[in-house]
Amino acid sequence: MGFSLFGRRRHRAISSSLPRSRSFDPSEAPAARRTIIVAAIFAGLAFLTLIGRLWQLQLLQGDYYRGLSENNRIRLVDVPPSRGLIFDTKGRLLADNRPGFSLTVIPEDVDDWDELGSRLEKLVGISPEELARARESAAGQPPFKPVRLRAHLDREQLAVLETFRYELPGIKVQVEHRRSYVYPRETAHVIGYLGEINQSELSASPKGVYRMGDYVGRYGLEKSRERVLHGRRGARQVEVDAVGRELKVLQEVDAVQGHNLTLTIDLDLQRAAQAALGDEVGAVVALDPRNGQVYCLYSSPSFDQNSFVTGMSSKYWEAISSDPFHPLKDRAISGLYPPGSTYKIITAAAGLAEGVVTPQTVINCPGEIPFGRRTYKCWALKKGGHGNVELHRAIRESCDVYFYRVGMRLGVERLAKYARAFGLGRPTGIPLGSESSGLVPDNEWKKRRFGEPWQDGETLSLAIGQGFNLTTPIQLARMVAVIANRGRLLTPSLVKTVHPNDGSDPVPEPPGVITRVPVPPKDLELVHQGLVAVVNEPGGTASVARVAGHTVAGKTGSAQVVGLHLYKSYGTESQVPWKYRDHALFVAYAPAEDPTIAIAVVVEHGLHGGSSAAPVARKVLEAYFGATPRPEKPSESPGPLADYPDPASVAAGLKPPPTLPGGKRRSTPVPEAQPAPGKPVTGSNAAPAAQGQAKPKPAPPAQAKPKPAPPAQAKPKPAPPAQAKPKPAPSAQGQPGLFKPKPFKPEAAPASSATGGRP
Amino acid sequence: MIDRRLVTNFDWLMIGLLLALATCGAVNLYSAASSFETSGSPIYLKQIYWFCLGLGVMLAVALVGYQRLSVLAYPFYFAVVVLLVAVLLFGRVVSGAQRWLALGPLVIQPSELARLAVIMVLSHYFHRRDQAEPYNLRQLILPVALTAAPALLVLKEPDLGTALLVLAVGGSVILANGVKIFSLILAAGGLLGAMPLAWHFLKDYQKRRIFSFLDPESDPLGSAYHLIQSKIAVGSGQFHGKGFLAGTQTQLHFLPEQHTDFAFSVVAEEWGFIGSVIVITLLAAVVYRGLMHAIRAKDRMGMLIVVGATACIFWPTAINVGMVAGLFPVVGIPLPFISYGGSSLVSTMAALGLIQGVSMRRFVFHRS
Repeated sequence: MGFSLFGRRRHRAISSSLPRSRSFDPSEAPAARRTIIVAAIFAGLAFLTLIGRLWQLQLLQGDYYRGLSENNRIRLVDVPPSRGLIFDTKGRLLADNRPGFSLTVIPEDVDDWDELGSRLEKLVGISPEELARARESAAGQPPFKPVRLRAHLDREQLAVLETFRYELPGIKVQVEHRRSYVYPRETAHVIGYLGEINQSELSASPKGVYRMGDYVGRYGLEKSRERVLHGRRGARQVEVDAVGRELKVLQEVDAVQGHNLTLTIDLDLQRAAQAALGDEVGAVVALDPRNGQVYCLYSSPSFDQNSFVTGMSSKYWEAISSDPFHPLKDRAISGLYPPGSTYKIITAAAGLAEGVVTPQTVINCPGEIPFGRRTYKCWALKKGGHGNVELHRAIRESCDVYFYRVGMRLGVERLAKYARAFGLGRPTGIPLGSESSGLVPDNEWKKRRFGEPWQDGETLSLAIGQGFNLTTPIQLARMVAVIANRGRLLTPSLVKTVHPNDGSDPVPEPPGVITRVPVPPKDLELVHQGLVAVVNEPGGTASVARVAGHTVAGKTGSAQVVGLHLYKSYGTESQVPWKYRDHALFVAYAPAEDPTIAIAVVVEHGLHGGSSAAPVARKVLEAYFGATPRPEKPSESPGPLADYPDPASVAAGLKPPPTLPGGKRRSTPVPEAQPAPGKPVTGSNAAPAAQGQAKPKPAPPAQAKPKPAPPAQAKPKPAPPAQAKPKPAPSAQGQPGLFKPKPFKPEAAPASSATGGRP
Repeated sequence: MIDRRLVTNFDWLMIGLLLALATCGAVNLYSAASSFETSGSPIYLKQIYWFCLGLGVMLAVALVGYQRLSVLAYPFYFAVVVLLVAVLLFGRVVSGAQRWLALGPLVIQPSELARLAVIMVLSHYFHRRDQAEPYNLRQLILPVALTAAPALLVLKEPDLGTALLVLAVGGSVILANGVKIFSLILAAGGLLGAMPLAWHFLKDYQKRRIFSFLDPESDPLGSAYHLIQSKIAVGSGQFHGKGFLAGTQTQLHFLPEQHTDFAFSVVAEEWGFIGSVIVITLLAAVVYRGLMHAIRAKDRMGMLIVVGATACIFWPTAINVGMVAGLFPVVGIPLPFISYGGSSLVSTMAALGLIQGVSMRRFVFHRS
């Protein structure tokens, strides 16, 4: 070899013609030459060291290592972590881990693959192809690593395998943690499910976190909180004998369980929503308007989460994936519906904030108005229209013509601006994947999408929530929560606390972003009063939503699925085919005086919000209040009372005192409250509630007063039955952190103090 | 066009060495990957294709010549830096590291270009300054920065091995150009002081590897397991080796990454001490051949380029074999010609092309 390192062949360096350097010959530059010789010596020493090391390992210690390699029975056994548990807000276990049995094969220990294949087929019905596939997937990993053949064995298979264990070399039944959902249908869309990791996910994940055969979140919180839930895997270095049995554990690193989660979800409400929706297709979202914590997120039809983990039959998969109602779709966050009349909340708020209407502005509703080349109808056309309406009545009776006019005065751009301010047109930020943005149409969008400018007539449709508008139920719940909390747009959250796996204190989830809508509180107050009227005043469209003992405020809506022409062509509504019927919507919050729950219900093709969506909301609200220690009504009544004869607005020259409908619900609490503290209100309770409502309706506001003083109330609403809610008379208590005082609160104060005479 | 002297001064012995190494590499890969079931062409064939491509690149680089290439030193350097940033932004994530960049149908690993860029830019820089006396610390700031910038970007991917390599190659060029002894001591002191800072940049798994190297008991299941299995493989090869395709450690997959970072353990297991020494000797011969060309180079730029290119062979060899034999922590640095890896092979051959270019022109003067 040419190690002519010190070769003598030196050549003269003639002065260089290189433009920017003089010639340089290392052979004439002693320093450079010396450097290189030093480098050569260094390299030589390095190579000698390496060879010396090899000498040491291979020759001096060769026998030792040869021995080790011949009995190399040291195997690394993977210890997968168990997944974090998931609890509902009241501490009930929703997602558990249970032992499951899986069938694995250790390629190294198999003598005869064909033989094994035919035996497995006979015994447990695993086809040779399945075996071949598993073998293929094991290529490239150590042959002593078990490869999963079947993730889920039933008892019968287990028994068979156990019996013939010695005739199946290489086959091993392994016990592993298996995710198990305790209320699979109730929580399917929220919690989601797991699936076996695939190759691309495996290669994209950091080293050592996942192994082939691991399960990862595929849907819902299981997916979005995968990192928190997964835990850290451990391993054992074990010595095994010639057949692969573990002789002793040499080293062990324990697996670390994933962190547990406590959700904001309340199982009771999930169940209530499930029961209330029944076979209907639709969704229910309920959240806390004070902080955005989601109590209930239910989409119907639902599906069985567990079947995804245990390996579902192809029949079930067939059924679930070809179901025309798409049970896998989470309608609560990705179902898109025109908001229908629930959108009037935004139109009203925008109209007031922009000053295009005042609470006294009277608009005549003749039942329809001509605009452009067509006529825009009010739903009350058959009754000859609403006549002269002002804001309060317009909301209460959902007068389309009123809102056409408001929409016309606002124009599409201003409507869109407020719609966005109320959180429409973009994801709410709930920590679940696949949330839809919905659509807030405007001029620019129309041009982009259709290449033509916005038509004024479309503004009319928009103003009553039809047309291009698209919203998700969770957006609607958040929107109505803005009215409930007087102006704050919340980010919905699902996880209340994370319980670290090291046993340290639970970490509450940081609250999401809160923005303020650009509508003055007094205007929101007016909208609020309208919403109270919708449920509680005669003529309101949602009297079915009344809940005994609590004032509900809400707004109905129905969203057109097909054009009016087609719709009318069927004659009566009952003749319209199901798929063409309007979607029914209802948004609400309660108790109106100091809302702790905001809810949105969509029933697909349910026709009318009042008739099909509102009852669902009522049942969920009943479940909510039923499960909550009921506050004493006395203190409560003043609230609703006070908000009717709203003196502030009167003083301000706002609307005339509305027909005081408030009385009714106030009295209802009386009968209802006593029997049922802490007891869930079931559907059947509706009856007494209804009675209660019916009777007391006429009751004058004065009633409120006589009620006894509220006993000392404690704050937290959750489980502990001893405590009551702070809900009542908030102003009197000066409760911090809820809404800021608005006109109506101050009034409430005198009322409640009068009533209460609290210490 | 092509001066006859270019052909006569072409280092044919070097080509012979490379062919021998590539043959060893391909044979070894055949064995290392024989127990994998792979789709597509087998790994050893792919390695041969890459070697042929590498030969082409080497020839092209040699013919164009380093003077002409050096004109592009800065543009090339900045292009590589941009690519490295692009990798961090848009790179493909594999095993938690972002190293690959898809440019149309081509998937490249810009970190492999980093050392070439550093060699070119440093030799150009020193050549332009043309300072006879050794550099002091202040004068070294810029060259060190030029080396450190791409190295840090590579480290961020994270690819500790390649980042170290860039530093080692850049450092070799700087040292070869001459550094004041006193400055050197100061710099070494500073480097020791900067260790904690560098520690901060390391990923957890890299830290764990260093820990487990320093104290194998601390991570018996991770890298220490690799280390133990690799030592068993190497040691059990003994003098003659277990024979081709007969390495139990290899064929039973006890070795981690046995076709890339731990390819040399396969050599050591199946071909024993003899085989290992042959491979190391071949690589050492390439290194010495390179240093010889450095001494004979006709200008400063040529010498520095050759030193840098030689460092591209020397450092990975020393570190990789040291790692496999349990002398160094487990860092992912491929052994030139033996480990599988197209980008690394081609960039190594390009470096060798630079050596050839310098060697061919040692008597030729620029006729511009």
